[in-house]
Amino acid sequence: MALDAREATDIIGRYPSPRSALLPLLWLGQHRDGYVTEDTVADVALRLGMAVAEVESVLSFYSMFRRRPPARCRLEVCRSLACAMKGSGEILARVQEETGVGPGESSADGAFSVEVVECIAACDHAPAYLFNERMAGPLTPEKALELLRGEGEGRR
Amino acid sequence: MIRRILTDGIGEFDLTRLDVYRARGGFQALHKALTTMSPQDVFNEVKTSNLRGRGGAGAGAAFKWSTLPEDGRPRYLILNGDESEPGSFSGRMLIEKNPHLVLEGALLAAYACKMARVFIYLRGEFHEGAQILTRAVAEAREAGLVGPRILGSEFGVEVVVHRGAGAYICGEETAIMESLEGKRGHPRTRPPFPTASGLYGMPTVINNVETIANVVGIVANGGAWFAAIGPEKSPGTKICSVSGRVRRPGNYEIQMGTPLRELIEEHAGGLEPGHQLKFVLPAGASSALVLPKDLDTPLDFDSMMSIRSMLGSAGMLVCDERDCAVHVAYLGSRFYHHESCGKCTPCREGTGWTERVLHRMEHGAGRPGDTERLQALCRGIGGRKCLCLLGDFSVTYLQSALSAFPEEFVAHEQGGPCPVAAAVEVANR
Repeated sequence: MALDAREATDIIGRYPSPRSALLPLLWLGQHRDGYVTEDTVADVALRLGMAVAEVESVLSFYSMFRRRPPARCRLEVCRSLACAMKGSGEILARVQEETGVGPGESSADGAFSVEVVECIAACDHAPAYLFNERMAGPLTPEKALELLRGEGEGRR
Repeated sequence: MIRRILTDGIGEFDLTRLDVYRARGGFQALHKALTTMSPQDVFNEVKTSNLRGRGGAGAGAAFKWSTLPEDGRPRYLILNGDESEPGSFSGRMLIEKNPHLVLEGALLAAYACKMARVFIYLRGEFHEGAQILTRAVAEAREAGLVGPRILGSEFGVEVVVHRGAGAYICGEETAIMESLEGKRGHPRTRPPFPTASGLYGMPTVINNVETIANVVGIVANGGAWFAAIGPEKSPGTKICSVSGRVRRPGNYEIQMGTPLRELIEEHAGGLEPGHQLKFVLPAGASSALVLPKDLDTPLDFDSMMSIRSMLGSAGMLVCDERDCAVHVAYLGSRFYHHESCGKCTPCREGTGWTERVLHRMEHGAGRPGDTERLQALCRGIGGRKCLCLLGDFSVTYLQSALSAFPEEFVAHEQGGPCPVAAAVEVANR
């Protein structure tokens, strides 16, 4: 499905050069579909006068763009210094032990996924995490399992 | 003592609301500038203030502005809100809790530098910050504070909130421009410097969010007022992000020149009960460690340089006796390897080698000579061999740890369990 034409035109109009709208348009697609679809890539390429390969090249540089449908519950745990010192690695190990789902994996039914991320600028709440894009912390093994079972909202 | 300039009211008032921000004096500096000052006057106040960049380098803000060529081409301002240094989280607080201050500072800077467009680049992970700031800009636009003919004057400026999508390197001032142009975030060759040829090849100023937020107070109270706060060469306040092994991790705005000891022991509540300070990384993962003997060093750009470390963005990571110097080095190396953009060989290859060596040392498989191998890697990667400083930053802590705690590295060469962890276990028995 192509992007909403009005929204896309509005975004492109904010910039002196259309190509600057590349990341915002990819975000627009990811927000709507949960990930960047082939259709979004093709549509963005067409709107910005870029080759599909060029769009893919930029897209693949940025770690936050997903290329596959996401799980319903997405837990991203920070592994950078302050969070690792406060036990984020142990939490991930415990989650894997209990659920069989390790970092970078999704549950077989697609209900949840576990990711590791680098510093998310929430070191004061270490171990910090993002749950469905919402930043919070500190995470405990119990809290992580609760979130993955769909029992918490992930608020601070 | 003046302590809170940028964080004043945060936690007490909902400053994300324009009416609340204005009721507390917000946008009066902009009003003052547009009704009583020329762009040159605003520039002069910032020059008098001696404001230095808060993003890390500590370069004079007015000096950067003064290098813009007078050639009539469009000029751009980029606010760097790609805060990604492990241990730094002060920018996020400003964006989420005081967005109108950031915006007002940006408008003043744009006025001083005669710019018609401002881009606020936020790292992709700041979902909430992007929403708050976008709403703040929209609210300000409705009130006639953003857009054409601001407050009825001839001055107009457009503000665009632009989100990154997960790349540490985009906090680097040339990579941020590439990213804004819709490209991979690779650093550019300098010269030309951004003020000569930046975004779309036009003169561009890139300032950190906290630097820009300071412009409001400077215009409101005068550059001389600001210059009189704290040390002569590093005036003003700094928001320090304290994390790690302290009782009260968080952001603390201190007057420049406050001793590091006061920040850790008083503001952050000291170390967790029963533990002793081992070292501090004062500017996130990229800085040389500071030992307890240097704890009375004043927190300002020059004093921190004098102990061969840096103030940088003041993301203070506090480590105690439980933290093995090798473990911290491994965590840092993993980060830099992940974040190297891959453009320059010493950084792309070197960060991977460093991580592999530290990974095996950390996991009981160290080999004789690994300490020397790390030293060789530090020499091979560091020394400004690349387009940007990511590679240099990746070995700054490592080098300092190798010289401060050589015995911990040598112990890890032997394989087997970590001696620091073993000592902690014995102590807890």
